[in-house]
Amino acid sequence: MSLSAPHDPQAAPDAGTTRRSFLRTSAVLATGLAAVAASLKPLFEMEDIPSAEQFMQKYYKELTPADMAKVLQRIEREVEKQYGVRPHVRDLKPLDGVEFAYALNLSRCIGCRKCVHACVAENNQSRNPEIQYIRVLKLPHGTFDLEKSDHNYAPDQVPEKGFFTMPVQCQQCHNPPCVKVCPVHATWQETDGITVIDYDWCIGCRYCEAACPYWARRFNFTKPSIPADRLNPEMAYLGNRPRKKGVMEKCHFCIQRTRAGRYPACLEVCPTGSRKFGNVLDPNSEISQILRTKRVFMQLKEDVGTNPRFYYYFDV
Amino acid sequence: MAHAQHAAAPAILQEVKPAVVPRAVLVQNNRSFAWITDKICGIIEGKTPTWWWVCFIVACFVASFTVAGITYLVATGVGVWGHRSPVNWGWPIVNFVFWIGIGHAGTLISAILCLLRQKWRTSINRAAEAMTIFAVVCAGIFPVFHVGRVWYAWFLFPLPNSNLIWQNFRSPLEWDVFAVSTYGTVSVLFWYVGLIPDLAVLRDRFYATGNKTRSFLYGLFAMGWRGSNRHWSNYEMAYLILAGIATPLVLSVHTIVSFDFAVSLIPGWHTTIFPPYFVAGAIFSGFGMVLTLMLPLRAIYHLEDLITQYHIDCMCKITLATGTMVGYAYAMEFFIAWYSANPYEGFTFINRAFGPYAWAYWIMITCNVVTPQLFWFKRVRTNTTLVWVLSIFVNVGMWFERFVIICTSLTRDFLPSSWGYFSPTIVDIFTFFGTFGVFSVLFLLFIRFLPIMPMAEIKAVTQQADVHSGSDHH
Repeated sequence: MSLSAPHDPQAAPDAGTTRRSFLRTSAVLATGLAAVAASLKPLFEMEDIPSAEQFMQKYYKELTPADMAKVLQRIEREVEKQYGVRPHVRDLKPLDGVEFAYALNLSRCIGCRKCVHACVAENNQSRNPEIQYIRVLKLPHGTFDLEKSDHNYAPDQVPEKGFFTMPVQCQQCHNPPCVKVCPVHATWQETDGITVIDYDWCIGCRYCEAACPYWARRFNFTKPSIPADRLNPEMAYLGNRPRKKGVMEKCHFCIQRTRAGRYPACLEVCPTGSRKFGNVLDPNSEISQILRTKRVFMQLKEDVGTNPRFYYYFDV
Repeated sequence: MAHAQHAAAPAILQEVKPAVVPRAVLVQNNRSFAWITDKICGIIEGKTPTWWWVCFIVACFVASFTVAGITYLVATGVGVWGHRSPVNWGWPIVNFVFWIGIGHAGTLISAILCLLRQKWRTSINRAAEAMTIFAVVCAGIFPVFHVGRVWYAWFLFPLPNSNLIWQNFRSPLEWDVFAVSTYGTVSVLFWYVGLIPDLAVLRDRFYATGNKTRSFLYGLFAMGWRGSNRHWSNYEMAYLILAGIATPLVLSVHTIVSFDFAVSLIPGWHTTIFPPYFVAGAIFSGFGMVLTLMLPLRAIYHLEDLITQYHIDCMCKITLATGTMVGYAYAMEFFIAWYSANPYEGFTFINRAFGPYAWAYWIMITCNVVTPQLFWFKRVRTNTTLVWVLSIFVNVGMWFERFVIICTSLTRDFLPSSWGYFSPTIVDIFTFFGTFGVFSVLFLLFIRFLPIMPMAEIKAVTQQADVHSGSDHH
């Protein structure tokens, strides 16, 4: 390209640095840097920066038993430091020949919400802000139009005449949309059907929450807080160990109990026996019998194709 | 021989005497090559204008809002933003889609219009590409910082970390990572390659005036450009190849951004119309922003000879076309919701238009569908002030489009127990407001230090560069 080089000194009158321009530039830069430094101050007061050990931790499925032992010890140390309680953290693997399912008897549920609170106590959910895994919907008799449901009901006494109640929690879908959308594989389905979250791998993008049609997932938008004397020290890595700020959590069928042969906390506390849980691969289990013989009328939101492991049934 | 044939034109033409429609002149007043060089380089070489300093300081101040907001967010938790369950994606994703949409005009102008030989792109493509890159920068801030633990955001990249864990390639969020980073990279490359001959011009001019530092710096980035025939032929081939690579990206980026929603189950998101609708909307918003930026530049630097009324006309027409497509998509969403007989979809769309966010919905309709229709009128297109105001409407409307899509669907999904209402916090507002500062800081630096128009390309579309110049009338 032809270059029309101007030899006109007027074209660039401020070539070179003068004292004035130097001072002015320095003043602007200094003010700018001071402002940036001031605004970065909160970063240096952060408490929950992960330790190098945690930061370099391998992906759950790649951890050898020895690695896992170290990780569990680290978690125990951290929990003890934060809460003053020495927990017992285990990494429980799915049992062979077991696939869990849950059945809830809508004829019996009275909507007392004891399951909600037992779950919070068992699974070390944050008390402030309040995080709960189970949401109980109150519906008028004669309809399953969920638009008519109310989850903020507060009568003096339950059950209320003319209404029935329907607790909703993680449905542990056969085809979980939340697992598909997690960009980093921080959530997956185990062989016993439980969809778990690795709280050390979750980056907190909340796509799983957007994907879940049941609103089963709960996010720690801020630092969770649990009174030290309310901490449940019997913990599992993929289960109820305390979560950090910025990670997702949800119902995991009380993995720390159910994989050790116990019932979930919500089931144990239920005063009406509405909640049934067990191994569907065992034809003689209670859950298998219920699914075979009772009026299992629905999986919630069947039409979205998630195929839940959580069934609602009637007695009659 | 050819001339003789031409002279013996079919008799029918002699008879009907078709009107000769003069082609629009892309550089007015028959400006010389030297004038173009002086004009564009003059913006960089002249003394820094006072308005620039005022704008720059204000922009820095505004940008500090984002820095402060993000710092507070990282230190405290993403809960300082207004998103709460069930609206777990609030403004950050709205702002992300808004900015990435704005970034669409750049590649459209540089790649697609280049391949289609739309010569009017020459005077706006440089600034539009710069705008694209800066918009992608602003867009990138939000998805990165909206994650709960930003210090683990690098898990999203397939880095050879000690874990050697592949990302989940089924996740649309992961597609986003690749779509946006590819788009950013190709846009920067395209912009930079286009800049090379102009950087060489600046190198030589600063050398001639004795400013060795700037001459060296421009020379460094001009990579030894001498303007030889060989350089030009390689350059033009490289530019063409990049245009070819960038063309599918214009369509892919926003398609993939729309997949974030379209692939999910949520009513109002789960729809196949999203990709084309998002792409049309993105080009619409991109041209809105190009107009918003270029019209003041044109007035300040008296660039009327280079950005002519014809250029503004073209941009207005594209805005009108894409705005109408967006309007069609809005209508089609309603039609499909009704036609599919899906009760959730039906509810969602009625709720959008008449529910708690009806105000946002109707702002969106007004700004995106109604006001752009004014561009049908030549009197509107020639009134630059009005065009500028309407372009701002486009920006506002497109922000609200994303807000409506994200918030109405998340506040009313499958279960009433997960129904809510989203309100932004002051940190939300400051952080978003601050990104305009970030964008302005970058754009101001661009107009101060880099040629805002591709000199060589503009020279190629002048009348004197056209071997057939003036032959239209014969």
